[in-house]
Amino acid sequence: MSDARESVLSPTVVAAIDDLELSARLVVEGMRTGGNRSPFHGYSTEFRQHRSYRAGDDLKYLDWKLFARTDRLYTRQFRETTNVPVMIVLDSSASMDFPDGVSKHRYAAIISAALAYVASDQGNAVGLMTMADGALSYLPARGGRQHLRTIIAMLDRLEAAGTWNPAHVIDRTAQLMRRRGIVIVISDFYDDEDATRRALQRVTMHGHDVSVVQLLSPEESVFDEEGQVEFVDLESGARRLTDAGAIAGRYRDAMHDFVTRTRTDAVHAGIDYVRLSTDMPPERALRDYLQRRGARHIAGHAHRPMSR
Amino acid sequence: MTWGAPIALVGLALLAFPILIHMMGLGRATVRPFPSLRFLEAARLLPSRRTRIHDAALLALRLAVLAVAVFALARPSLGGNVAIGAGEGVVRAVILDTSASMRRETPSGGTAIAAARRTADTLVSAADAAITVATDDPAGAVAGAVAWLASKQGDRELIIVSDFQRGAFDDAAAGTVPSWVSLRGVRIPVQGVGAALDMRFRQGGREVTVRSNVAGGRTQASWTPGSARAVGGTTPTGQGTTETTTLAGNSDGASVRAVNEAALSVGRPIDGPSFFARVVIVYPNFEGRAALLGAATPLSEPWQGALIGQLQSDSLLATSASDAEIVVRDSLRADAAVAARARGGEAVVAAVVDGAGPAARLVLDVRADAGSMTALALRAALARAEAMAPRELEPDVLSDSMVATFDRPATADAPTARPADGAVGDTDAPSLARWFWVLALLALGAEAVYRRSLATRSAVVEHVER
Repeated sequence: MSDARESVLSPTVVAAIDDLELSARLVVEGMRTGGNRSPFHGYSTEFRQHRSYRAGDDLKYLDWKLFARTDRLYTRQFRETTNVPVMIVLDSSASMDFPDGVSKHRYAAIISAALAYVASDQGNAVGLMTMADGALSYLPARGGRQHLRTIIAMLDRLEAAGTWNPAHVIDRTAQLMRRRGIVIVISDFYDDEDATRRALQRVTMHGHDVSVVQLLSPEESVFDEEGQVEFVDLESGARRLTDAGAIAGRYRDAMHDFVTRTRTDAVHAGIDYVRLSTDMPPERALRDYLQRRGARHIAGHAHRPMSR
Repeated sequence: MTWGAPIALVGLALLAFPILIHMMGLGRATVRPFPSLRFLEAARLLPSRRTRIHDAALLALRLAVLAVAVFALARPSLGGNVAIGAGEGVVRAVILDTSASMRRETPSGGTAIAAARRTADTLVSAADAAITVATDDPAGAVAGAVAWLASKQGDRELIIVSDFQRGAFDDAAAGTVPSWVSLRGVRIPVQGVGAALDMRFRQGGREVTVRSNVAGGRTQASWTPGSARAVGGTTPTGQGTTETTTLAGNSDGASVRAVNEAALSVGRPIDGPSFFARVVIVYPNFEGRAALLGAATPLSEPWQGALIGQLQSDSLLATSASDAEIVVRDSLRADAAVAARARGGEAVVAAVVDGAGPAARLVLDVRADAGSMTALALRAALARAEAMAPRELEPDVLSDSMVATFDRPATADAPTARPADGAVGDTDAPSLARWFWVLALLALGAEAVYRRSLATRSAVVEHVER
């Protein structure tokens, strides 16, 4: 894909589109021009056995080559395999409502919608799990366009508020998934690092294929504040007076350590890690992620069959 | 300037408060919502840079009030004792065993005393303040070393460098070391431990050989008298640990000989260590006396002090000196050590040092007649000072585990250093605290006046603006 194409779909433009479904489709279309392999590979059908032809069998399943060799009519039988369920776990805590303009929350919603779109398009079942104001809101993984619309509508309604309990949400997601599938957690991962890491490990050990998408804004990672600044915590409302210029260096170091730690923890637990920034064109972000997933998916399935 | 209560200076930390208050009062902080304060935690340090201090003069006055009050609390005084508080760090007293048993060879060659000296030098150079006490009686030197440590501030250590011959240092001696001094024993390994030990020494006019050995867990000594041998009162006399020279007038020859003969019946070892204490006794009639004493210097080495200490504690010398008839009454050097005094307090035997370095000689200026009882008592006390202690006949040494039990760290808090003798204590120096209080009050007054003037000024500005 050309750079010109990417620039057309700047995060600001995509976020400015009110209709989430439209922006998701835009992102997915933008991504597809790159000609990616689908990351949620379907195993639509798989040859199982031959049986003698019986009247009424669809002629398209008749094995003509075998008929030429043996002079008998056989019908090919297939086993139907289902695609894996994809659960999107979205952090909608107040800390995601940052910065002004394209907030992490809106960006995450667009990415989630696009992911749901891609997965659903591949015939996968897609579900959504979020926690708003302490209450879990859950849409089970199902296929079909209607269900995709429900998910996108829910994503659209979602507002970033309150806190969330990542460990609880992740654990509950795994419990609610009846089959092994793909779990994509989108968050800034500020809350409860240790508990989150353990929850992710547990989910991985249950056989789910877990990805974490760490979403940060340039305002957080670059931190170019100056002078005396009183910061207000978006989640707790706590205030802290700082000399931003003086602490910027230490803040950036701590932030860098945090991101590195999150990645290392994920990689060590066999979890796919992606870091996204709200100033990245969303379709590029999505493509990067899917490309990596695609590579992993193929490698993963070579030795670990997912569906029966 | 010295401080009677330097701990009060910690109060200077209070100065941070007015500075902080002034800084906080300056400018409004921008309020900014942020996803997480987690990594701003490290930034809780208060603003480190300020372009402008609000009302610098007012701040300076407030700081001055606080600072001066804190200084006043610390009880300042002029001059006084600088030794207190100085010498923080490791303060070490090394007791160096120079007893006869240390003449034995170490397994690596060389005498134990030489190895011990090297060890002591290393220990001393590694400390911030240190003293080496060379003594043939380590246990007896503990009190003096502890007294020296008490006059210093810091981590106080007492280290015994010895072969730990049985009897040289034991639990009882270790028990006399106060708990605020850490104690350590450094063993100098010697050869021939437990083997029979021969020692020759002079007893009256005879040479006596003592052979001691360990048998069945007991130390036994057998004494063999040798042939009679004339003991000379000539110059120098003896081969013991002390080389004593007598300087007297020509007319005093007979008296000196008689005194030496009478005094030297005390047993003293013949094979002295490589280290000699050179002592010169000067009688009033010696022609070069004035010149010798004029060029003398005060005591400079530990062995000199140790010897004077032994002379001071000699009861015969003290008794005879108290009744002595003083024949010279010239003025005494102010820094001369007095080994014996007459009843009226006048010095009878004064000690100074002639020469320097290894050739230094301890000069004992006897201010009584060469044939007097004091002269005899001094000669005898010198002989006793170098006499062999019975413990020197012990061929065995303490086990390593036994030496290890001496080691212990300081457990109690050290007492504050006592001022050295002659130093001016804080009670003697005039305290400046009251003047500091006056200064603090003045600064407080100035601050109030200035604050009021500021308030008036801002009121005027307000009025004009309106």
